Formats: sequence, structure tokens, C-alpha cells
Amino acid sequence: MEAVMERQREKPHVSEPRIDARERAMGLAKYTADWQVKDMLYARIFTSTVPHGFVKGIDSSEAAKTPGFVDIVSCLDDSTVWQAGEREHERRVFADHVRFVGDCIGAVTATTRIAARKAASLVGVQYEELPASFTIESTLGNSQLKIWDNGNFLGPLKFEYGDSEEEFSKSQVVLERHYSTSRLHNVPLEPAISIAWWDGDNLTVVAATQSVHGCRNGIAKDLGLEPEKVRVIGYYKGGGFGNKINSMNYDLIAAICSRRTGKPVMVEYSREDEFINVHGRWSTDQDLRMAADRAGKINAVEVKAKCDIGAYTRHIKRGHFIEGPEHYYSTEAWNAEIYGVYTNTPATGHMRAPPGPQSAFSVESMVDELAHELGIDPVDMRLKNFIRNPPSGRFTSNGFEECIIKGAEEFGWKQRWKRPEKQRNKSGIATGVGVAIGSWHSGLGHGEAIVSVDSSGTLEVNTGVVDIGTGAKTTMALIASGEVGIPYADTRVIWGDTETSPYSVGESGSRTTGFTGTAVREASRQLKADLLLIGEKLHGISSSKLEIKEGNLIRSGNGSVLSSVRELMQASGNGRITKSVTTEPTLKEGEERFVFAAHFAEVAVDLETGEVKLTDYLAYHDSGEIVNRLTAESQVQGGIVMGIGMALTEKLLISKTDGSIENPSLLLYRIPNMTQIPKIKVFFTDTVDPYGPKSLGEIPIIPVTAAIGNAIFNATGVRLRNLPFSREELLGELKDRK
Amino acid sequence: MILEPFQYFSPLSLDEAFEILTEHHGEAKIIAGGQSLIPLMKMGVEMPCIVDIKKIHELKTIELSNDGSGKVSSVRVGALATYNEIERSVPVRRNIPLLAKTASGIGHPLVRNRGTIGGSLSHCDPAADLCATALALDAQICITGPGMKTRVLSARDFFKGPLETDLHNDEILTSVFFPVSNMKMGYDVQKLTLGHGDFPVFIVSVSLHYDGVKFTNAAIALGGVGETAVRASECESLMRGKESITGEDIREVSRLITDRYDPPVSAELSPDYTREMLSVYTGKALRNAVQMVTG
Amino acid sequence: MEAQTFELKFKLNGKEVNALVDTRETLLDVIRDTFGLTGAKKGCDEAACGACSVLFNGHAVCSCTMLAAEAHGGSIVTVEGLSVNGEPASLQKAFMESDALQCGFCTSGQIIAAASLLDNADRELDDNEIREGMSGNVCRCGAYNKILHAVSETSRKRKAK
Repeated sequence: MEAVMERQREKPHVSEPRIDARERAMGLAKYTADWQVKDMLYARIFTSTVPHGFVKGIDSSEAAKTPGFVDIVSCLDDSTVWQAGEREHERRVFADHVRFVGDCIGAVTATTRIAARKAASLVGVQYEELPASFTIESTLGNSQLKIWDNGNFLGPLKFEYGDSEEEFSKSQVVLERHYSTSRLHNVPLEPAISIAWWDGDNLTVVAATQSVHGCRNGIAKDLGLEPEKVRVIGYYKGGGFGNKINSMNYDLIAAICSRRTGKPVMVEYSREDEFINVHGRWSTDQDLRMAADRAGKINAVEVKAKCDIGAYTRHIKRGHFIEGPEHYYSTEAWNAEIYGVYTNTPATGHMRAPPGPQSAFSVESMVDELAHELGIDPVDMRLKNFIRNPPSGRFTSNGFEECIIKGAEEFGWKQRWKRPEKQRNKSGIATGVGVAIGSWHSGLGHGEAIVSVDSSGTLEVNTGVVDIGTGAKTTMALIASGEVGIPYADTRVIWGDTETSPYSVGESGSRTTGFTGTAVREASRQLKADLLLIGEKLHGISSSKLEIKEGNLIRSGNGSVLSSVRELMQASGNGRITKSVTTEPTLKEGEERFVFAAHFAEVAVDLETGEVKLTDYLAYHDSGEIVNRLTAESQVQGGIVMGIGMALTEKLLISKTDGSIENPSLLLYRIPNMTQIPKIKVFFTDTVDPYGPKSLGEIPIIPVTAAIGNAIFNATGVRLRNLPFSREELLGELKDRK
Repeated sequence: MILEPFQYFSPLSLDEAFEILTEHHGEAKIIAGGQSLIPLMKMGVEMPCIVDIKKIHELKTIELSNDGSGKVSSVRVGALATYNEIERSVPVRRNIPLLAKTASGIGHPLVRNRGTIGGSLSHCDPAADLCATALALDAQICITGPGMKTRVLSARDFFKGPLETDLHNDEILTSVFFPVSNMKMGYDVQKLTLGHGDFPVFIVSVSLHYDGVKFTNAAIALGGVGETAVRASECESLMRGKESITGEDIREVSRLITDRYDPPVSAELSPDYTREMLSVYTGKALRNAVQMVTG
Repeated sequence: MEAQTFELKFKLNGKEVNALVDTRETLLDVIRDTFGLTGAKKGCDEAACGACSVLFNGHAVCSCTMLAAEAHGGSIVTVEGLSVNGEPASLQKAFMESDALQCGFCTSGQIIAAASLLDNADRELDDNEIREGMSGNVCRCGAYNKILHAVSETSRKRKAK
């Protein structure tokens, strides 16, 4: 362990532009919609206009008259099940039992986009309507309701340790509060799209997916094919943030329509379709209780939550709709009871750290409330309680304390934080600062990689990553380049095609660097060892006294260049040396692997209008060794920007009369633009984890909403407990106070 | 995606435009910047005949126009001047700064590079930024019809209702005249939006003239509170002729405005809040405008 | 009504081009589908995201909210037209070096909007002017700090010349 730490710390920090920055900046990167496929047809879905019911008939006579019409397929003639579409129940690609306004019933294929859309708009559907529910309360209160035959909710998931009752009864301070978070949407800027064509029994899909292998396996399973018969290509993807994981229904629709028509088919969603037909984040209603002693030691936490998960939920682990904060603090007892409640509204599922920010919002707001109640500085409150090791076991590494202490230092917390009543109020603007912390899991698992070097000395990394914007390709290249000793500039990447690349877990769950990156590292080490042996043979110097740096074989110690890698390759007589590796790292008994962060925010509140402006932000993260500072910083900033949207502007408006989304448009669902984003400073600890770099993609969004809410409280003395924060609610509270 | 087919004409002169408008009487719709019209077409509103007037170059000019004595009396803004051109125009910035300020706050730059003053005023959305400011500045709307028959009417008479103006099917809004004052000016525009660059929920546009002794003119125009943008005349008269406008005066005017005008309905804000904000934003606009005059 | 066509001629990245288009087609559809220039993206089709930005007569506009026919006689520059002899322009290099892009889907639009902002500015822009000037182009990956940096650096360098 010690030795590892020394070796790692010697390494300089790497900060390189993306390996594909040129393609992306010059408009050359081909996303799915940019593919031009010969003889391609266009498919357009048609969807339910009622919130709940059975499809009784479909009239396609008008649609078929549209010039350019080719084919119609619906729930009446195709019963393919989309297994990844709902974990607990059977969800069909084309629903005969529709469960929300917008549930997909069928698709029309035509020769042009306009014809497909026009024809789809002319399809008539008859329904037998059923009772429907659009809220948690009405689902739980309606015994006639049957969204699903075996019950309309999931759970309760119970998670507990310690003696909660005992801790609550003996603690000196107990707070009880209610918090809520809204339904959100991932809003990847590239709307859903898929192109499919068949060559005999072989299917090719150009998918806008976060995982080519996950997509292939899902499609194969749903269509009853051998995975080898399915090729999925996904070179460039315009974001996903969790809503393009594995196979999506539009991939299946493209394949089904293509099989029926014998032509390549593109299914392209509009922005409105994307909002309605691709899942977003579930909402939560949370009742919290927290117990502490006068000195600020948190003894017990109780969370009771009900979450609106829509008509379908793609969440992976049963019932884990609230998760995370049990890994922020060391408490004597923790007690959670969580329900996922179905409603006749659009589907929910993964969105960047699926339960993370909802859970952090309530707990981190409440810890702040507790600190205020006890008269303790919010940073000190966290320092008194943050988790050093999990209840039973130990973390592989833990930089939490450094995040909190150094983050506070860099932010100037001690100078900037004053008790709420002491905040400045300059010409109607009140400013304040807030802190919040968070942690997230950092898994390890199956990875595959092929790393090779050719006779020109070019290093090639072949993995099944997609790179949806995370920088995965760059990260893989830098790991290989750093391990082998060949310059990054001489490194190229092969990716994004199940035909040519080995399996990768895909860009979800913050896993690529830990899973696939570990395999790349191992393959690179083996490759380097081979090169050193060639060097040993060529120069008659023991390989233990040789190194490769900047593409050259050098002698350890004096650093003299013996030959270039290219010369080594030529001497070896090999056209290419290839290392194909599979890794399966596992944690030791009792080990848990986590990443940690502390965030600091400053806000300015207009006391006349209640408007909140974020004026400064700082994030301090422990994600272990950072492979590439530049892209890692971008990922942290990106998560924070998304968190700012969640805190201040974003909310799916669900109709009270039919459960439909009232704002399926970027004009009405407001994601942040540049005017709302302050300078975001990002720092990383030098924590070393024995298993290599830790996860990064999801944790940045987790503490954001609470950090901002806590800053609003610090500025105004008003505690907002519902997301997104409402200027109206804030102003109302300010006036009540006067 | 626009589903319904339509004919597209792009006349090079007003004469040619009137021929097309007459031939397609009642069916033709004029497109200028298209920032309102194209979204409507995408929503499925049928427009069988589109007449694009952007090739008629005489409609693009922004120029000073003099009265008989050679003194600058107004700025003529061609109907096709984009928000961006208005914002950057030296004659506008120098003489009608409220217009420049209003134009600079509409939507976002990509919209401002496309949207035109003629398009905005003829679309006549009750909450549109330029409708309120045109009213506050006593703009005169110049309309031309077949045979080059031209008529001029005040913005107040031009706006008839939501998305409804005095413009006939065969007429074209050709330019807008903004009278120039040689008095000291105080002005501001404030609006409630649900997000940066959003269309206003309501807008308050204020223009004050000060002759060194008293406020000779005080104009407050409100958008989004009625069928069209309106002038809050009863409030204006409280300020006109005064030697100074105090904080108390501003509070009084703001109160009066909230009493008189119905706040618009918004899905995300309660009527109470919006009503209160009408008063707050009016107060902000007036304070800033008075500040400019009295320093 | 039958589909109507329009004989379109305009300058695309410096070259005179023409095509017979359906009047319903937007400029975005035509530059992507007819001319195969796919740098500009369709993110929302309602002028709310800026991914489809192109320069029209020197100013950035949403090509999704412009009929192709409206471009007749005008000059269009797409992101593909910014590069110099197949190499990225200095603004594009600034985006690459600053990491002002993540998934890259909005990037073409961001760069076009920045080009328009910088080309039409007569002095070095401050941060808030850049924020306002880029406010029609959203980036869901949240690269705003880096985009601001790339545009601000380019502005500074241009004025230093």
C-alpha cells in the first residue's frame, strides 16, 4: 500500500484535450442522424391519447392514403416485449394496455420524414378507458385502480441498522421535516434516434446508445436472436445522462419496421417525443427525522419516502429510489422506508446518479437545519459527522475529510460564512453561502481491452466504449499511453462497434474507467513488458533496467535513449504486438469503494422578487487518481450545471387532468444557459486507491441542490424544502418574516 | 417539421408584393423574420401562401428623418430591421435609447439576428417587448397598400387585440417612426420572464422627458396585462408636469398599476405573485428612469 | 395542396450552390440532407437550443427556424466552412484546447454563435457580454465555463493583434 502511494504521487498530473476534440469541433463527428443510408425509410411512432386503457381498434385507412406511406405496425400485430423497459413488469414495445398519454402503440413507415409524420397523425385508435391516477396520493387511495395487476407500487424497501427508536428517544435534539423533489428529464441534446437494417438474419443497428454491447444484448434478447447476429454501432452520442442505457424501444422499433419493409429504417424522435417517450428522473416526497446531541453528533436518521415513478420505471435495483446519504455520515442508527408508486404518467428511470441528488437534497438540507438549530458552523457540523468507514467494514480509500477541510479553505468559508441574521443586505440583494457533501459508489467489475503497438510505433487501444461526452476514449488512450510510455499523440482508439471492439460495460453508473480502464491498464502493462523484453534482447541489458518513455526505450538511471519503440518493433520482426485482456477485479471481504465530495455555493437573492442568482461555486472531489484533469474538471462542472438546473429551474409539469407532460419543449422546460452559470472552481484530492482511479461521472450532481438551498437559507433565513426552489415561495416566506 | 404544403413567393418590390397579396387575397401571409410564423406553421396552422418580403430592400433602412427646419424629428425604422440591427444602430442608440435597450433584451442573440420590428408589431402578441416600447415611445406605424397608398397611424390605434392589428390582408407594415425629443431622457424596460431569454409574462416600458425643470412627458406602457399592450395613462398623469418624482410617487404609481391591471395567467406562478411583481417591476423601471434624469 | 417546390440558389461555405427544395423544408433540413453538411444539428426544431446555428450573411441564426427558401441569394456558413485548408480555425482550436465540448452535439452551434459574436464585436468582450451573446446555445453537458474560456481567450487574442 505504501509503495503504491509513493509511485502514484510521483506521477505528474495529466491534462490533455480530448482525443476526438478535432472531429467534434469541426463538425466532422458523425452522430446517428448524420448517417446517410441508401434507400432508407422513416418510421414515426403513434401514441396513446388517453392516460389508461386498452386499445380496442386501430384505423389506418386515412394514414395509408398519405403519399409515401409504406407500412403500419401496432400492438395488434406485434407483441415484442421490451425487457429493459420495465424491471418489475412486462412492457411491450407497442402497448395494447396503454398506461400514460404518449405510450407507444405503433409506428408508421414512409418514404420521407414528412410523410411518416403526416401518416402517423392520421391513425385513429379506439380505446376502452380505465380509471387512472396522476399522483402518489390518488394511486395509493384508489382501490379500483389497476395500473399493474399485481399492485400499483413497489416496496417498501427497508434499509436499517442500529436501534433507531432508542437513539431518537435518548437524543437531545430531534427535527422532523418534509422535503420534495420534482419529476425531471435528462434532456440529452441529441433526441432519441436509431437506424436499423437486416442482411438475412443479421441485424445492424446504428444506435444513439450509452452502451453498444448492452444495446446489442438487449435487442438480441427481445427479438429472440443470438447476440452474434446483432451488430450495434455507436460512434458519437449527443449525451444521455442515463436515458440511453442498453436497448431502447426505438432501437427495437427500427429493427421491427426494417424487418417488415425489407429496407433500412430510421426512427427519429422529436424533442417533444424525447420528453414524453424517453424516461426522466422520478419525483420524491420525503419525511425525515434526525436526532442529535447538543454537541452536534448525529445519532440517528429516519427517511420515509414515496416516489412517483410513472407508469414504468427502468430503475435497476428494486426499490432503491432513495439511496446514498447512509454513506455520508457515521450515525448510530439509520432507518429508511421507501416506496415507488406507479402513476399514469410517462416513464422514469436512470438520470445521472439516479436516486443521488434527491436523497442528498433532503439529508444535506436537514443537516444544515440541525446545525443552525444547534448554533454550529455547517462545515464543523459535517466534520463532526462525516463517515470514516462504513458501519461494517472499511473504505478502500477515503478523502472525505480533505474535501471538506480543503474545500472550505479554498472557498474562504471562515471569512465568508456568517450567521444568517448577520448577512449583508445591499440595495435589496442578500448574499449567502452554503455547503453540502455527498458520496457515491465506485464499482469494480468485468473489463475487456485489446491494446497493441504496430511497426510504426503507434499505440492502439481497442475497447467497446461509446464516449457520450464523458471523455472515455481519451481516458482509455491516456491510461494506455501512460502505462506503455508511448506519447498520447501517437495513440489511437478503436471504439463503438460490437463487431470490432471487445465488450465494455457502457457509459453508465460511473463505471467505464473502473471496469474497462482496469483492463486497458493491464493489457498495457503486458504490452510494455513485451517491449522491454525485445529491448533486452536487442541491447543485451536486463529488462529490469529498461524503461519506455516518450516512445523511446531508455536505460533506467541515466535515462539515455537506446532506441525508439518503432526501432524495437522493426527489430522484433513483428508487424504488431497485441495484448487482449479480460480483468475481473473484486474487492476484498469487508471493503467498500466510494468517492466523496464537498461543494460550496454563494447566492445573491433579490429581496423584492425572490429571484436567486448563483454567484460562485467550488467543488472539492476525491475520485482517487485522476487520469485526465482537463476532462475530469469538465465532468464535474457539467454535473454541477445539471444540479443548478435541478435546484433553480427544471421541472416536468404533469397535467392534473390526464397526467400528460405540459412542457415537453426546451422553451418551457428550462435547462440552464450560460447566463446562469458562475465560475465553477474544481479541485481534486491526491487520494490513492489501491484499485486505481475511482468513479467520477455521477457524484458531481449529488450535493448541488442542497449547497444552493443552504446558501439561500444563509442569505435570507428562509429554508426552502421543495425543488426546484420557487422565487414565489421564497418571497412569500420573506414577507411572512417581516 | 412543417407538414402542410404552401406556396412561397419572394417579391423584389412592394408593387410585386401587392400583386401577389391581391391575387391570393385572404390566403397570403407575410413572413418577415419568421420567428413567430415558422413555429406556428410547425404547430400545424395552415398557411397556403407565404409572401417573404425580405428581398424588398427599401424596408430595411434605419434613418433619421428631419422636419422642415432640418432638425431631426424622428427615426424611421424599416419594417425589416432586425432586433440586432436596431440594438446596434447608431441613430437608434443616440436618439431612441429605450428602443435599443428593448431590442437588446428580446429572446437570445440567435432570435435577435432574425426577428424584425415589423414582424413583431404586426404579430401583435400582447406581451411582446417591442409592442410595449412602441407604445411608450408614441411610435407611428407606416402602412402601405396596393397602389402605394400609404397611411400612418399611432401604435395605439394599430394594436387591435391579441394577434390582431389594423393591418388589412393586402397591406404591408413598411416602417415605424419614433419621434425624437431634445429633452433629457430617462427610460427603462423591465419584464418578468420564467427564464433567461423567455417571452415576457409581462413587460413594463418607461420613458420620461425632463426639460431641466419638470417632467414634460411620462410614458408607461405595459405588455401582457390586457388584450394588447396598453399605456397606463392615469398613472402617467400623476407624474407629468412634476418637478421631481419621489420614491413615494413611484410607490403610488406602482400601487395604482397593480389595482388597475390584471396580471396575466402563467402556469408556473400564482396570480398574486405576478400581480405583486407587476408593481415591483414598475417600481424598478421608474426608479431607474428617474435616476437617469436626476442623477 | 400538392407539395410545392422552390428553385434555391445561395452561397454555402463560399461556394454557389443550387437545389430544388420542398417549400416546407427548413434551411437545416436542406444543408444536412441535400448538401450532406451534418455539422449543424437538430436538437429541438424550435429555436430553443442553438445546435442548428449557422451564419446567415455573417450573423448566427437558428437554421431550424428558417425556411430553406429564405436563404435564396444569401450566404450561409456552417461549422464545416470555418476551417482553413482542412485545419481547425483558431476559434475551433480554442474550443479543443479549452475542452469547451463534451458530447459535442451542441458544439457546432456554440462555435458558430461564438464566431458571430466575435466577428461582429469591435472590441474585447467581457465575461458577461459573452454569457449574453452565447445565451441562445445550450449545452446539457454543462461545458459553459470552458466555452466561456475559449471565447474569451479568442476575443483577447483577436484584439491584441
